[in-house]
Amino acid sequence: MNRLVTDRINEHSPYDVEYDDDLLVFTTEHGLTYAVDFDDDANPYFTAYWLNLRNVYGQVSPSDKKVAQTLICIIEEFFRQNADVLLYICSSADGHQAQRARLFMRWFNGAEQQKLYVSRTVEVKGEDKTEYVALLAQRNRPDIEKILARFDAESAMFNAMKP
Amino acid sequence: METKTLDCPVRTKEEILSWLNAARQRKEAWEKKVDAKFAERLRSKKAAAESGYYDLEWV
Repeated sequence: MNRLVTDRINEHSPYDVEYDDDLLVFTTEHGLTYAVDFDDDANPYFTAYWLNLRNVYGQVSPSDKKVAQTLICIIEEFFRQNADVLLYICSSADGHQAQRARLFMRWFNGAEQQKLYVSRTVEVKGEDKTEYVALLAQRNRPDIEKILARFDAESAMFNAMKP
Repeated sequence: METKTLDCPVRTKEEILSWLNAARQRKEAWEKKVDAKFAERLRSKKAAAESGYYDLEWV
């Protein structure tokens, strides 16, 4: 994966994003620190990365739109540097995956983002847990229809979740 | 965006669950590693503050 350029992120990001080793890190005006990382995916069809996001000290987070705006700036820089697919699996901590999935998609479903990107979400019910998975990709990819068709076909095996 | 009829293979339900399980395990391992890294940093800062020692510039 190509390394992101923090100067590009920080052109529009409300919080200053820096590399800390291989992690992207930012601290909010409320003193919360978030770490962001991208991890290789192992699907057999296309190159993709899992987006990881962590509130590293686990402090209670007040509602803060700037966190979402910062994350969007990071994701936009990811797509500038990498013409790949981004996947997100919601944290199962405290059983609030569904709320996190909706929040994440609300963050990324703004009008400006919808012009450039396509998103999909699916609720996958396993035997002992339910996972919420989101897919983000650039709308202008030549293979976007095939990627979405495959995601939709695989999602159809489970209970679909509306974005 | 509308999608067209699929003309390529898809994974089975079991393959998808296995793929997601692996992704979940990697994510949880990453979270533990990040938590440990920042917890250690916090511990070091706290220990330095409690020791009463601060670096002094040579004059």
